[in-house]
This record gives sequence, structure tokens and C-alpha cells, in this order.
Amino acid sequence: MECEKLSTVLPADGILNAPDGFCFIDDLPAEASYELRLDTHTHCKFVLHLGPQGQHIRRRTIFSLCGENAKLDAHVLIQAAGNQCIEWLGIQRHLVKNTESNLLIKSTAENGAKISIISKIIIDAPATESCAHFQNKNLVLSSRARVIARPELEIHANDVHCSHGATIGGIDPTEEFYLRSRGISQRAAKTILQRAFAEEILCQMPNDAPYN
Amino acid sequence: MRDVLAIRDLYLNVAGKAVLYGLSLAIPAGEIHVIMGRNGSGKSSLLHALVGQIPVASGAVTLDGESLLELPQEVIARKGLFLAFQMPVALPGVTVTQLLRAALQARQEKGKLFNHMQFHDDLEAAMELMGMDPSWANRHVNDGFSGGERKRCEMLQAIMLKPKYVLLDEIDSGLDVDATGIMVNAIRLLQRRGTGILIVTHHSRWLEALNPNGVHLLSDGVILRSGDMELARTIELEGFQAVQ
Repeated sequence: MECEKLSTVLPADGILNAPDGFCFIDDLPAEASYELRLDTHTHCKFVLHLGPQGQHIRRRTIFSLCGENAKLDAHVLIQAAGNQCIEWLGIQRHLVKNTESNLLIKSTAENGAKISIISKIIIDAPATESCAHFQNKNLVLSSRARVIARPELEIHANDVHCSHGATIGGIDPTEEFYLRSRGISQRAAKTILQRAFAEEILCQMPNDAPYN
Repeated sequence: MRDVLAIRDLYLNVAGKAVLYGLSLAIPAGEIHVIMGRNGSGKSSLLHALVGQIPVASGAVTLDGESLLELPQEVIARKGLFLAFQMPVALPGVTVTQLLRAALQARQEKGKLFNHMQFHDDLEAAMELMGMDPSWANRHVNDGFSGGERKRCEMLQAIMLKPKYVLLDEIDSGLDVDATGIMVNAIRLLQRRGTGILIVTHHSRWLEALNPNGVHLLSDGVILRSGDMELARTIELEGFQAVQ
């Protein structure tokens, strides 16, 4: 599967044109802000892994659906450990009609890590007959770890389909028990379940994406 | 001396309510024993207590003379107890292969290399026995499985992990005729290997083909009566009232 790596040197205006197909943004600095523009009939499958970029990571991403029939499927995996602090600010902005965006963010916070996820769907007045969905699932793996999730909607058009939701929880004790009842240690069970949680995003990544 | 799973004078409370009070039962290796009893009589609770999911109030559970009480669940499993759950949980993101490999590697002696070729051969053979398509190996454990598929997946694990004792919690429920036949064959295979088997069930008909060594009626927190298939037949035909 082809996977286009977008420029790691952002243009001055921070605007990137989304390709048709898979794309990822790799090795940007810990603090980065950009706008990904989707033109007419572009179907962009965007993947991103936040975690290895540094101790304090702040990422502001605007997905702009500028052309009719543009479609975005975005998968973001955020993994924070130690005393890492990761902030995600995302906007799915629909500017014209008949556009679709789906964003799934999964995060895991270990040790004393902090993750903040603020994600907003904005439907402009002309963007009728558009669909926008945002889903956020967060796994907190220690009593010291913190996750803040704030999904927001701002709709200025009628006849649109929008949804958003966020969940925060720990490892499911029944799943952990099931693995332990098969002879797997508690520690290994937690690792397996943590990996399984991320799998929903990892399996979306093409084979030549850097995380596979 | 023959191996035995021995339960002696077991007391068990679930959610503050006494469920078992003084239950005793011994299952020698290679034998099939069946527990029947009314809904809520504590059959499933007993199985869950044996694998360490529910703490026991008092009594003893020994496997080949060694106490299993107070041991972590994974240690009980490695010592040879396997519970096929009545309603096993789904593990999205964990494939059947990953689960089995991790479980077998956990049993591996330190420093010994895991034989991946042997693992795949064994898995293929076990899946064939269970009437499972090879693609099952890459499916996520119980995720989107029907009730019958979950039961097969439980039995597949019992075959692959080679425990000394298999506890089957209503393994027959929700199975069609063909799947029940597959389950009977799998239980026979386990028995031929010398595995001890404890079955909790509400139905006796499918047991005819297994010819269990013992059938036990659990009532009022103890084994009230023990017998052979005749006891199971009487319960099925005339109800619990007839044997209490």
C-alpha cells in the first residue's frame, strides 16, 4: 500500500494539501501547527502517532474540507509515558457541502503522563449534507496519569449528520482476568491489552507507515 | 499415585451470601465428572472459585496434593487448571494466535526456545478437530463470535494448552447438533490424554456419548447425591424434586 509522507518542513503558512490515499506526517517538531486541506473528490486517509516526538508535545491540526465530495478518514494514536505531556487540538472544518470527515483518536497514559484532547467539529453554513464524526477512546494505566477529553460541536448548517464522543477508562478487569486464567502474568496481560487497545489504529496504518 | 483434583469442605460466599457450605469432591486424572443442580445452586461459582476468581471462605483445594488456594490466577492456570467460561469475554485487538502463543510462552521453561513451527502445526490440527476454518487463527478472540463459536474457541484453548484438569461451564449451551458432536469428540480427546474433566451442565442427553465416571447433584451448598448416568437421566426426566 502506498503511503505518502507529507513534508516535514512546514510551509510558512502551515497549509498542506492532502493527497488522495494514505498519508502521514512524521518527525515534526514537538510543537507544530498545520492545516490539511482536502480538495474536491479527495479521499485522504490520515494516520498519526504522537508520543515519540518529545517530552512536551503540542499539536494543532486543522482538517479543512474545502472541495465538494472530499472525504477524510483520520486515525490518531497518542501514547504518553513517564512525565510526558501531550496536547492535541484538532478541528474538522467543513466549508462546502457533501463532505465527510471521520476522526478516531485513541490515547494511552502511563505513569505520571498527561494528555489533553480538545477536538472540534465546525460545519460552516454552506456545508449542508455533510457528515462529521469524532470518536475518542482513552486508556489510563496509572492512578497518577491524567487524560482530559473535550469534544465540541459547532454547527451552522442544517441537514448534516454529526456525532462526537469520548470515553476514559482503565484496563477492563474481566479481560485481564481472562488472560490470567490462561496462565499469562498480570504484567503481560496488561501489555497485551494495551497493545490490543492501540490495534484498532495500528491496523489502519499501511505497511510502509513508520510505526509498523 | 494417581493425580487428583481434590476439593474438601469448601465454603464460599458470593456478594455476602453463602453459596457453598462444606462441599467435597475428588476428580481423579482421566475421569469425567458432571455437576448438575438448580439455577443459582453455586455450580458456576464453584468453578470460578477453583481458578481463583472468587476467594473461598474456608476449605481446601489441592491438585496432586498441592494447595491451589491463595495462588494468583495465572499460577493456578500454569499448574494445570483450565476453565472454559460459560460466557467468555471478547478481546478486541487480540487474535486467537496471539492469545495461545502468549499462554504457551508463559508456560515455557526459562531459556528454552519457543517452537513456532510446532505451535502452528498443533494449532492447525486443533482447529481442524474443532471444525474451525484456518482463518480463525487471525480473528480477535470472541470478538463478534456467536455463542457457539465462543464455546469452540474455549475448547480450542483447552486442547492447545494441555491442562491437567478442564472445567467446562455449560459448554453445551447454545450448540447445534453438529457442534455438540464436535465438543464430545474434543472431550474424548482430552480424556485420552489423561485430562480430568469437570462438567457443569443442565442437560444429560449429550453426556450419554461421554459415559461420565460420576454425576453429582449440587444442592444446598453441598454434593447432595452422587451416582452415574442414571442419576442424570432421572434429573432430566423427572426434575430435581425426584432426587432430593
